[in-house]
Amino acid sequence: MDAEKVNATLAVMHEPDVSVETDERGHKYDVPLPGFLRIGVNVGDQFVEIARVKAGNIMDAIEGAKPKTRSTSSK
Amino acid sequence: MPPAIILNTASKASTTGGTFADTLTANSGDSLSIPLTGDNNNHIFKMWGSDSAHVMELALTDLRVDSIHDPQYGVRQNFAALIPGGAGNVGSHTTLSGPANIQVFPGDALTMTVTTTASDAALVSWLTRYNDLPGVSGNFATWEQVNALRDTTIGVRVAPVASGTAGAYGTARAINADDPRWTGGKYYAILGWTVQTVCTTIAFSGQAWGNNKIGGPSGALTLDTTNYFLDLYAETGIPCIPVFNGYDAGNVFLYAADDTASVSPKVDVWAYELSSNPLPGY
Repeated sequence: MDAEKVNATLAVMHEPDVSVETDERGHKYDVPLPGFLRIGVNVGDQFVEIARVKAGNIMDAIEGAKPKTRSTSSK
Repeated sequence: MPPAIILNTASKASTTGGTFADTLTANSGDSLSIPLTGDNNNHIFKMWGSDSAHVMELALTDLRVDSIHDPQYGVRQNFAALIPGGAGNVGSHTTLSGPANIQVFPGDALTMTVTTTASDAALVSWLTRYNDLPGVSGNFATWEQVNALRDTTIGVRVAPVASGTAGAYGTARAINADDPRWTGGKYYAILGWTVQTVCTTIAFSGQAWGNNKIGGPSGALTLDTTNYFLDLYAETGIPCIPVFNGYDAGNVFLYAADDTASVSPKVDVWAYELSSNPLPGY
């Protein structure tokens, strides 16, 4: 049987993570962590995951690759 | 004087790249120096590591050519850091294990240079076995001692987070910070651990163990760490199963170090509760 080509679009989802910390009063609070990037394709309304990668270094790279905004204020 | 097994890690967060162009530096609390020991029976017998985005080659040298043959490249080892699973998903590759080892001499210092690609994070961890390390009086038991006193079995969540600086240890996480079920007055033997997310190195430290680090890899190829310390004892014959009292849980810490920044491997520590102290006198 021949394979049939289907339309799919590349999709990347950010899966956040947290570290639960405790303050000096014993109260718990969440510290956000980079988490993971889930890379896959959308086929119809289904997300088919191809890879799930740690986001730590990638988020840094994304931040580093963002164009630097120049100050528009004038003296 | 007692034998000891100690974990050290060296890393660099953002490499220059090029042929052995980057030198790794010891992580906080760790050392590339060989301590002054009572004899020359000291051996690096396990080594593992990773690179965040590309393959890496390590050149391990020291000042004693009777240890590493020559000072040019010494011992070269490869880290196929993209296999399996691609960059950042491997955690660690083991480059030294089993009966083979590298003898090291007291007072010497290791140098680790790596060939990598620019802007990568690189880290290498290793275990050194000392036959006679003066000053070390850690609470480490044999499997026979632990098994004879076994009471209950416990798994406890501890969630150390790797540093925001890739390769470095993150903040110390007390073993009772996330799950405080350790009972004061009871003795526990840590047999190993499991993780949710691969991580280059999981380390334990505490006053009970002379504040030296112990631990191992949790990479994709080395995830069977439930009985890690038991396996280490079976391999070496050195009492190396860490024991602590539940009262001391706040002073027992876990660390994570990974080639990716701020990873939270979510460790479950696997331990036996013991009916009494397996190391009377400590």
